[in-house]
Amino acid sequence: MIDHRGERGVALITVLLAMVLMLILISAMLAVARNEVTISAFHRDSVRALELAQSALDEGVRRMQGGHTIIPGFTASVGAGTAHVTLQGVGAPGASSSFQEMRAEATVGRATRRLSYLVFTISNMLPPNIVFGYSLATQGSVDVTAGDLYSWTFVKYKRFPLCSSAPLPANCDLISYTYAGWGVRGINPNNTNWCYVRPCASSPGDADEVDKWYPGTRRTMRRGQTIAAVINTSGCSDPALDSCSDTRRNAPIETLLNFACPGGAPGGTVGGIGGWQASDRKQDNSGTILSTQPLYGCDSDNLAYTWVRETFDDDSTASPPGQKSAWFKTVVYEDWFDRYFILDNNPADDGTPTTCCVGAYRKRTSAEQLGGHNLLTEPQYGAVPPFPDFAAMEASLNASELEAANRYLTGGADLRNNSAPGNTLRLGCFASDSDGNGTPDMTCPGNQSDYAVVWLDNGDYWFGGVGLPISTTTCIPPNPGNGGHGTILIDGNLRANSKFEWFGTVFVNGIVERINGNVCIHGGLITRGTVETNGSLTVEGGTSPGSAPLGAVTVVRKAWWER
Amino acid sequence: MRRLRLLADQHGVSLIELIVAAGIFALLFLAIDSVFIGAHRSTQQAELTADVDQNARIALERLTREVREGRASQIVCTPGGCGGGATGAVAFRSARSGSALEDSRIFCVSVPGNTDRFYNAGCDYYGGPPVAGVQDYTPVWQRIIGYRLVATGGATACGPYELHRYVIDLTAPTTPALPANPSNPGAVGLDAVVASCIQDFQVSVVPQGSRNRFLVTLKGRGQRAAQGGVPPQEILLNGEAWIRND
Repeated sequence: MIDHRGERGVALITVLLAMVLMLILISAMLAVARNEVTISAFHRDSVRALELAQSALDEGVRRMQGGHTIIPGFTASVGAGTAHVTLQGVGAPGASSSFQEMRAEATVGRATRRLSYLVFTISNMLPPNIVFGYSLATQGSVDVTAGDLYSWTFVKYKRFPLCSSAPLPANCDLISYTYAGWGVRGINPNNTNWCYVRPCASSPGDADEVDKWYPGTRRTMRRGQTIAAVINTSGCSDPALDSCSDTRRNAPIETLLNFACPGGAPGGTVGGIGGWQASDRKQDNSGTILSTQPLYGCDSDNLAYTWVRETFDDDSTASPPGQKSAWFKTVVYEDWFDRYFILDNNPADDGTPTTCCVGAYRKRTSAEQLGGHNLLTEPQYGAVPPFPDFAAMEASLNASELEAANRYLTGGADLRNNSAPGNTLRLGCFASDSDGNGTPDMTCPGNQSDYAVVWLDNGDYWFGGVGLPISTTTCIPPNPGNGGHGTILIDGNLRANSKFEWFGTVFVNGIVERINGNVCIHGGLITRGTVETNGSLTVEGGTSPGSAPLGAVTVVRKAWWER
Repeated sequence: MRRLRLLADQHGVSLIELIVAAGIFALLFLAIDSVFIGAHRSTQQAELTADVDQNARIALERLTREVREGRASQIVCTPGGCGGGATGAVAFRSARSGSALEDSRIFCVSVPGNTDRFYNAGCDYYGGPPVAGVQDYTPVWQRIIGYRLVATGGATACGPYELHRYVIDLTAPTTPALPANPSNPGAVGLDAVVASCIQDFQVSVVPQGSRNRFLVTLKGRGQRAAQGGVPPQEILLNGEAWIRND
């Protein structure tokens, strides 16, 4: 007999096996489900991070367009993620334009995405590659080897713009002209009589030089500016020097030029508004202006103009200098600039430029002209631009950030000595071989260019003497002196009695004076007040080192990629 | 005697009882088995769906990511251009450094000289450093990338195509030209399968204002050899990317 009393069956084993099987199946399903959830979550986070980085870059573009600084960057936050945007200057092909890389790193959840924009920023607040000053008076030598020279009132210099020096600067238009709101004359060794209107037949001197003069040229004002504002931003920078005072300004018209040409000019005469005096002269100095002169009109290139009266210092060295009152034909700056300048921004698909100066403004050619005229063949249609909006440029900068980077000073400084702040200020360095002599223009650390925006606020700043290694270009022999690369913004006066060399654009919200040494600027020189020099001032407008546009800018996206 | 009495109380298991017990056990087994089979089939189906999805999604991600860095004028599609169409193909230029460098992290842009911070010798600039002077920092194309369908031949439940990605290194910024027919580009430098079991691949470029949007649809169909009754799984993925370098 079999005793079954000790048997318990296979129920436990069966249940255990079933449970193991179930466990395996459920684990597999859970693993797959968890994997899917992870994949979906990561995909969601990565898409969000990508979009966040993209939106942060777009925010950066909008900030630049609005004139807000994004140096050294900002942090944006959307929902659960944050993005940090940094900006780094890459290069500047010409006056008031630059390439900048904007990087965004956005993190959402476990996903991080890094994007880069290469943007081209442009300011159209002034023509490119120019020397601009309220007036230019020199006892020394002023050479403008390329680019145009604009003066709100008069120009008095030794040498006319050459634009033929060897090697030729790599700029766009090699034709340089001198435009003055009132008059031009040459002094020793090329003495000429005052020239108030083309042709300057009565002026002796170099025929080529006289041919490049355009005195009595119309002025411009920015759309939205009042006449008073445009006049008051043009001079009156150093009361101690030129006896400038607000009372010598006369702003009788607060009118925007908004009528269409041809025809459409509203009525009114210069005598019908306040300020007209019988002794007032015309801009071309051809005689007094009649009170019946129509206040508005259409110029021969169909740009609307109005007459504006201004009283200004003459060219005498007397203290105080004499004053003149004249009526200036004034047009809208944007209309004039858009008519005669074009942004050369048409690269081929392979990225190579189709012309010499992609990325910079230049004068339109006859094939590109609008309205039937261009400045290359008809330079008489030039106009003197207003001084740019200096407050907007300053507002686009962050003083504390620049100060931390040793690129900001206030209260004035003598930078000629090898001591602070002269030897601590970081002025940038230019390592390229722009003149093609086989040697970098400046001896830079690591042979790398260091592009800088330098802001010198509220005071007089002396340059020259011991400082950064100076360039080896033909502009200034390789000797100790101050030098730098980028954009320098001086809210005060610029003075130099030794060697000073700058690659980029120099903005001076005051005067440039007491130059007893050599000052060389490979770029633009924009001065609110007078440019006076007893030494040698050379400006090579349009050379490759440009300047960062400050203030509100137009932003053109050039390249985009994921890092 | 006592033992005999105990045995006498046992009546054994009748055939009917045995059959009933076996039937109940069989029913119970079938019930349990169907649960297990169902669970197993669900798992297989989920895994297959995930595989098909991953297979297509990775390819889609890679394609949109690469196209996003391009330029609309540098994209060609078939059939019938970039207006879309079934079983399409696409080729476009890329500024990622060529296969000679084997470092796709580098995005090449036109720079003014070899002291520029974006200068990279890996962007060969086609024979030397960039030409001195003003450059515009726009992409410098280094290679052509293409995506096309290649028929696998076998009539299986799997999708009839593989999605291939091919690369053609440029010898000059515009040489060679983009293939007229991206589905048949001729000689290529690199050709690899990025997704299998594909049923359909459609691409199009849609202008919107001054920008262009790249749209792609990828349909995958997958079935395993030993499926155990799991039906083929299909996935339809749509992707899009704003082309950023227009």
